[in-house]
Order: sequence, then C-alpha cells, then structure tokens
Amino acid sequence: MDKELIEHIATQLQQHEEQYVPGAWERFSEKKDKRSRFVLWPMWVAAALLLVVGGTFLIFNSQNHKSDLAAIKSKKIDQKEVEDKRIPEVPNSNVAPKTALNLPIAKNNQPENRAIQATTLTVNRHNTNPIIKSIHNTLANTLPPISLSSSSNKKFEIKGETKQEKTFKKPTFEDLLARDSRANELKGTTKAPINSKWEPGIYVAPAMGNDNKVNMNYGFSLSYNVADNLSISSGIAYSSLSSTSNPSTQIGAASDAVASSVPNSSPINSYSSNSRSLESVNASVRGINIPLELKYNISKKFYTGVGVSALAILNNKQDNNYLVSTGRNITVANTAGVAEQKMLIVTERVSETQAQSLRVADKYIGFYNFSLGYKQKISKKTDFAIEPFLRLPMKTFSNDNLNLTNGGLRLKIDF
Amino acid sequence: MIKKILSFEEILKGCVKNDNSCKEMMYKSFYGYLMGIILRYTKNVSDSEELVNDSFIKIFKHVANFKSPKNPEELQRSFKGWIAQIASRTAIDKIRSTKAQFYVDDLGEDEHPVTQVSIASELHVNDILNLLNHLPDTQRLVFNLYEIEGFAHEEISKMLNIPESSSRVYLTRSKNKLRTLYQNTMVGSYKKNG
Repeated sequence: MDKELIEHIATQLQQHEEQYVPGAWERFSEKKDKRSRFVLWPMWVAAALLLVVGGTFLIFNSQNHKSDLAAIKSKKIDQKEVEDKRIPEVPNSNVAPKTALNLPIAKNNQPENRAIQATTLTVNRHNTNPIIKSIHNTLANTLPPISLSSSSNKKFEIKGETKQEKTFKKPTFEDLLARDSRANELKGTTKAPINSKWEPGIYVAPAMGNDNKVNMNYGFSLSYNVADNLSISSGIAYSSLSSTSNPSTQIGAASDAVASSVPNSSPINSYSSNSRSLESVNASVRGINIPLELKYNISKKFYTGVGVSALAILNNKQDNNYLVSTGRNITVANTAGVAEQKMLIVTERVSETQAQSLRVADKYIGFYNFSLGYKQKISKKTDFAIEPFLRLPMKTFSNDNLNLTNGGLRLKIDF
Repeated sequence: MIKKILSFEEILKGCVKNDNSCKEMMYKSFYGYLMGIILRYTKNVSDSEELVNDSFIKIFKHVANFKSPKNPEELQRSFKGWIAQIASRTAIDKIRSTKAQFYVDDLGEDEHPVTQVSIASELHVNDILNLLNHLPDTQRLVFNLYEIEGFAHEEISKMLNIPESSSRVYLTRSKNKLRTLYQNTMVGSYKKNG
C-alpha cells in the first residue's frame, strides 16, 4: 500500500466520477431555453412591431386615392318575375294620389347617361331617401295588409340569405376534394434527396376575407434553416382572394334617382321612379403569390412567422351590386270599368361587372404576412403543420376601398 | 448503461443533429464525469454545476467539430478526453476571469527538498478534494494542470500567463502543502483513532 501521496491523489482524481444529480438536466435545459428566449424575443418583437407600424402607415397613406365609378353595363337579375306576379294580387280598393309622388320624370333611360348621372347625383342621395320613405308611408296607409312594398322586400331578403349560404358552403366541399387530390399529386413528385438545412413543403390554405367566402390557396414552400431556431422560407403559391366592401361606409357610392317611364302592356299609363344605391362591391383576385418569410421556433412544436409577399395578379374581377328601388304608378281599369291608380314599389338587385378598362392597373399587390404554427412529426422526415395566418395588404386595392385583408389556416406537409 | 454504450455513436450523431433526447442522454451520462473534473478546480458546489452546464453548452455547440478517431472502439474514450478538455478550459477561464492576474510572490524562496510521503491507507476522493480545498487557488490550479491533466509547465505558463518558473514553484509548493496537510490532518486523526 505504500504509494506516494501525490501519485495517489492524481490517479484517484483522474478516475473519479461524480454521481448524476437528479434534476440537473431539467435545470440545464430550462436555463438554456430562458437564455435563448431572452436574447431573441426582443429582437423578434421589434421586427414584428416595425412591420406592423410600417404597414399601417402605408395603408393609411394610400387611402386617399379615390376616383369616380366606372362606366357600367347593366344586367338585371330575374327579379321581374316577382314584380309581375305581385301586381294582380293587389286588391283594387284604394288609389294613391299621383301628386303624392314628387318625382321627376325623365325620358332618358340609356346606360351611358346613367353612368354620368351616377357621379353627379351622388349628393342627392340624402334627398331621395325621404321621398322613398314617403312612398312607403302612403302605401302603408292606403293599401290593405298585404302591402306590396313590404312583402316584396321580405321575399327579396330571404333570397339574398339563401344565396349567401350557398356560396359559403359550396367551396368547402370542393376544397376538400381539391386538397386531397393536390396532396396526392405532389406526394410523388417531391422526393429528391435534400440537405437537412433545406426543408421543402407543400400546403393548402383555405382563407377567408371579409366577405366570408372561402378561397383556396395551394403552394410549394422551401425553407432554409439559418440558425437553430430561425429559418427563412420562400416558395410559390396559387392564391385567390375575395373581398366585399360595405356600402354604408362608401363615400363615393353612387345613388341616383332616375325616374323613367316603363312601358307596360295592360295599364293605361304608368310612371315609375328609380332609386339606385350601391349596395356592395365584390371583388375577386387570383394570382401567383411569392412569399418571403422569417420563421422563429418558439419551442419544438410552435413557431411564429413574419414576412412579406408579392401577389402577381392573373385574374381580377369586380362586381358592383346595386339596390334599385322603383316606385311605380299604374292605372288599371277595374271590373266596374273605372280607372284606378295603384302605387307599387319594386326593389331589384342589379349586379354589374366593372369595365375592364377601369379595373386596377396594378399588376402586383404586396402583403404583410403573420402566422403562428404548430408542427407535429408524422414520420422520421415528415412534419405536418397547422398554421393560422393573417395577410394584410400593403395598400388598399382598387378605387372602392376594397379591403383584401384575409386570414386562414395553412395545412402544410414538410419533407 | 449497456444500451447507452451501445448507442453512443447514435447519441453523438443525435447531438450533432440537435436532437433533444440525445442531448439529454449525453448530458446524463457525462454529467458525473465532468463534475468530477470541475470539482478539482472549484470549491463552491453551486459554482460547479454552473461550470458543468457551461461546458455542456460548449460541447453541444461544437459537437459537430469533434473528430471521431479511426478506431471506433476508442470513440467514447476520445470523446471523453475531448469533453474533459472543454470542461477544464471552462473552469480555468472562470478562475481566470475572477482573478485578474496571478501575481507571483517571493519566488526566490528556497524550495524544500521533495520528501516522499507514503499513504497508510486509501484516501477517499472526498478527503482528497478536501485537501485540495485547503490549497491557495493558483497552487491548486497548477497542481491540477500538471499532475492530473498532464500539461507541461510550458503550456501552463501560456495558459495562465505566468513565467514557466513560477509554474514550477507553484507546483512544488502545492505538493509540499498537500503532504503536510495530509500528515497533519489525515494521518494524525488515523493515529488518534487507531
């Protein structure tokens, strides 16, 4: 046992290993997380804030551009049927005095002139409203319970509702099919050996704008891991957007009161007055979207992304929907052979496609993209990600203040 | 344990790929080893875990740079050597940062002749560490580097930015002090007891 002390100390120490202290790893990983979060979060928040502030600045800056409405070619919805059916049902009891309507009678009914009037008569909108009201009143007073004005309006509302429901439901089913076929299609094609730093993926993204219509986006993405938690991604996507604008906030909305004589077969004479107001503007844009995004992994499964994207417009359609209320004075000979005068109000919805020449000249729209994602491994190399996102346009699109802001859910498969 | 050794290569690969569970395995299997090294340098236990963690941060960061030896059987041994180096450097850096400089005092002092001290019984590691704790920091550091890590005086002098001769002096002093400490405390108490 005779061993020199120093030698012994050296060998003892060299061989010595401590016991693992339970909880050490937890402390270690916790500390590491904290450290990286502290360092990177402020930068991340700053970048996001910068984008948001810059974006809103641009949006508000470019909101002042506005010009007159387009020249329109009108196409009528089959609302006439309703009107025609209603006429015989009205009981011939009372006659509304003709003089109660202080409406101008215009002989001109041509669309070109209408367009011009549309712009010049915008100021008169407020003036015409009382007139319409008075029509309603006289009708309510003079006509028995089945007041035409109210019943035709009701009928009309119901029609509108059912129409909306249809447009909402229809795409989702198609989208499901499209999503499946798309996923299957692309599964086979992307199987090239790739460096672990590059991460290609495909996605479908149903998105919804302010018109509650679901639009589908399909895309291919490629991301590059810059650091452990940070990656840059780009790609290419087919995307469609749709939007509607609210009439009440429209300053430039056209509303005009055009009185016109409508030829009618049986009545002796008839007068009608037109009150036209822009109800809504529907726009849909389709194009190729090229995003550039910065992604930060908050944890193993969650990540956030901030980026910009450019949408090259392939197809752009804009429909203006007008609500046309027509008050008509019709004189009919009743069974007793006495001429009676009746007052009818007919409301029609007219949809007009915006002329090609007056559509937006912009070929590109810029967007700010914000997203939050949840990633789940489904196999060794494949990740499935669900990513709610929000797209804010850099400036307002078109003259009608269309807000193309839209959000949706991106379903993504990374390889 | 056997499973760990078998899959050590996989664990290493997992760490290169930044896989968290592999990192955890790595951490848990080498925590004790690194702690053993760190404890030679520091007295404070709470400091020591921090130093171990700092070492692991460096290890995980640079694990891709670790060159595995040609002989796969030596893989674990060479990896241990590599991480031991990282740990001792980390500890030295820490000591260096707390001590702005290693001032060398009265080196002209005559060195005592080296007397051999034999040990009567096996010393426990805790006792050894206790002995080390009684050494002044610089002496302890030099002793560690020379006797245990196996550095030459030339390397130590560069590492600690002191003259080579000072390194020698520190080493001699540390050894002498250890011997006296051993004789005064351990042997004395054994004699009393037995």
